[in-house]
Amino acid sequence: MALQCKIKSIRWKWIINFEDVKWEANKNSSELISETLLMRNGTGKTSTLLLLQHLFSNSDVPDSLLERIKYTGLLGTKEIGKKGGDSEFSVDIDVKGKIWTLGYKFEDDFSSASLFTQTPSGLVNEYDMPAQFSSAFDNNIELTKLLFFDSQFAGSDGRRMNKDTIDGTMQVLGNVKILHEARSALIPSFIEAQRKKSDKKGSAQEKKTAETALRRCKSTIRDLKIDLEKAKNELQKKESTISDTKAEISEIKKKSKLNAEFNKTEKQLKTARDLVSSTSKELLELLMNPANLNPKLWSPVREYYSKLSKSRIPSAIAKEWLGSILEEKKCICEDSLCPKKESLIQAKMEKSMGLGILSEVYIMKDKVQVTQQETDPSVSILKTRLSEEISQRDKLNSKLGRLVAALGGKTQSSLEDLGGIKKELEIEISSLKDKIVMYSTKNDGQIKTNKKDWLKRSMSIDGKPATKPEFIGECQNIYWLEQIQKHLNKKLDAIAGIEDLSAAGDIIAETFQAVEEAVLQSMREAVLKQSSKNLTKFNMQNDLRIHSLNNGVTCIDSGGNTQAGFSTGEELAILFSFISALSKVTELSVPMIVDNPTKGADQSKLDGIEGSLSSFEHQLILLIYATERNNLPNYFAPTHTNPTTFMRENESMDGTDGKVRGMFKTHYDWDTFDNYHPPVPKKPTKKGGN
Amino acid sequence: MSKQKSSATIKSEEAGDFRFCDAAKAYVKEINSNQGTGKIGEQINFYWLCAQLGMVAFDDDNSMPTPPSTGTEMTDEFVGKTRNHQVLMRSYLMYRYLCNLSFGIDDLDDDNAESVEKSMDSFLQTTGAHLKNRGIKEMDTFAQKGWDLLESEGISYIKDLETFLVQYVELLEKYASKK
Repeated sequence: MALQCKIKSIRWKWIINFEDVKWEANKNSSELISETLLMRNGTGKTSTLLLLQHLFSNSDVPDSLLERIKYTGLLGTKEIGKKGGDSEFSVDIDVKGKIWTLGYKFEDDFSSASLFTQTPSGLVNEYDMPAQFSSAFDNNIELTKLLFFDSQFAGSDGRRMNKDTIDGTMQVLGNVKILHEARSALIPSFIEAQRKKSDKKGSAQEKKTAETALRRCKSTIRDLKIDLEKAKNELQKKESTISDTKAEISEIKKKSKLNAEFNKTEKQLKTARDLVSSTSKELLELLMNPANLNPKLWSPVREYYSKLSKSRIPSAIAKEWLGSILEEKKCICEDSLCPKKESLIQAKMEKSMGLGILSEVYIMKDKVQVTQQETDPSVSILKTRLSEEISQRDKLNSKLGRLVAALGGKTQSSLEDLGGIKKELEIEISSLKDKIVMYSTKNDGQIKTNKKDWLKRSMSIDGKPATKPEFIGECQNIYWLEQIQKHLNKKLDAIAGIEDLSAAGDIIAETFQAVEEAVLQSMREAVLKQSSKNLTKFNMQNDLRIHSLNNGVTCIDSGGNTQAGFSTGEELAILFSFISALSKVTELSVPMIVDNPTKGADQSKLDGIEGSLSSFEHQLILLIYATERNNLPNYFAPTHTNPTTFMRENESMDGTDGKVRGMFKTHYDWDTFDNYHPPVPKKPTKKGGN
Repeated sequence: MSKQKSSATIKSEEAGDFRFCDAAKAYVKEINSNQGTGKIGEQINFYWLCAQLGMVAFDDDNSMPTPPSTGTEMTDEFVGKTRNHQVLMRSYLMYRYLCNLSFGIDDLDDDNAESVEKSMDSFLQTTGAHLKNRGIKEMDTFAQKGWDLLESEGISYIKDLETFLVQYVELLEKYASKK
């Protein structure tokens, strides 16, 4: 798949806050690949990003997004009486030197959106992009969500680069999505159609019962999927709120007289927390292995196993092994067996013949003997280290508390209030994440461990799928419901007498899965190799590197510890490395857009973000608000990026509006970009999301 | 979910779930949801920590509590972090079990070989958790013992993983020092 594309311009017509404004790339310098679009808060950056995700991937625009992009500009403040034209959003895309326009036309009431493509040869009222573009983007919102990236949701837990997203992206780019669809949808629906047509073998009652159960199973899956989406949306809202809260906290600290002290202490605290977290992970890992217990406790076990069943082996093996010597009448020293030796071997064989379970015991014996205690470091050393690190962390926590208290007055109470809100939000976020895991995990162990709460009576005592509709309805895990569905389908296939056809369907599906897996694995290996190479360009803390793409992107640090969550800077660096690698492996050069690249990031993260942005090699479009400009002063410079400032026609540089505000205009000069200072809107402090 | 077993295997092997008391499960949940600290992960990870402590502490008083009852089932296999170390975990457990049956290291002679094997045969199996119901119940009892100790030592009031681990290791060290 070879594709080179760049966004040449974006046009907003009578949507969000915009009347009719067009932004064009490379207006300041044609050499640069980076563009920075500066808009005051609330103008429509995130809405633009979401529209681009849907537009590029030819996905339906959800109602929530249509609601969000309703035109509210001059009409909203009654500065004009009515809209001056149709509402549209369009993007000019350069695909291999030719310009294609992809856009949406919106109904007047924003009840729906229709997609259009202006191809080099004419207007088409559908998605009609060149083949290379379509095969990368069409129906691939996973890819567009990776490429058009809202960084306020970065740095939480690497969820953006999870298994579904990474595999989904690779399935499309590796041209195996069709196999995935065939095995997961086409084959099952074909079997279902044949089942309906076939003569029945089972009783009508049996069929009715199984069909009722299947219907309940499908409706429960549907309901859970809705609940899952709701939980994900809720999580996104809460994360947005917590990001705002963090930004507010950061802003208050920045403005306070103790800013330098806060910065220093927070940096030290972060380091202390990282150390505690890494050592506790290491210690927990060691404690999972009893061979790491104090030698006074474990040595007796080793000694015991060295003596256990020393002269006994499973009877079948004794018979096979010593019997073959007797049969050949030849000793293992190659000498022929004399009657005396024969009777000795016979006696030995009888004495050695133990129970079959000894095969299991021998595995244990071997493991106990070969496993050495971890001494570098040992449990005891790690405990001492952890204890010291905890004490250092607690000291710094107290120091931070004292700094807040030293501020006194309103600033102190604002920080304390925000801290309380942040804590509450963290609890709500954690509970939403648990809920999402419950609905969506496919991890066998996790499901089994929580079966009492998650599966309830949908799993029988002996671990089998339930068949009673009311039991099925109790299940809270989509994966287990899919297993129940498979089981019920098999039952119905048997009732319909099409087991052979159903088995054939399974074989074809398994073959497709094997091909799909082989292609994905080969892509994963190539992309992993290239991503790791790319990541070395970034200055990663703890020598963080990409370890595997098998379960989404997983990283390990220099100590070999798996890292689940990333900071914003880390996630940007990893994402850039991954996208660059994917681009190289699939010969793809596509733009990346980052919304709010520095929102809520502290100084240590900003350094990482700056490094990540500078090292990206494809078109990069940043959407920022005014205060973000101060966060990356080295990056927002003529050597790195083309500036664009979105201002209303009659707006002054301090953001004061004229009597008539006038339409949004784009300014491509550095002077405007550097000197535009709109006021930062005061947000009401809210609990629990917007 | 579990791998397909042949009908012959199903007949001869037993399928039981590890059981863990509700208070201990609630503790895992609390630690896992505590913000800003590490996570224990799967319940069975903590179950093992309790069982290990129970086995270590057993020499001290030779007492065994009542294992958790029906309704506290967890999983029928070693999952999570315990998966990779299950052979050694079983080894430690069987060592304790055989010693309790008076098959100490000095009793492992040829005369006792058959009796020891019969005991092992009623304890181990070759699929699932590789423990028969007897073995699983033994592990549950040690886990209960460990949890009781954590409660009596006040360690179960600690709500962050890091401090818990320090206290847990100190308790192990206390028992080791008695040896």
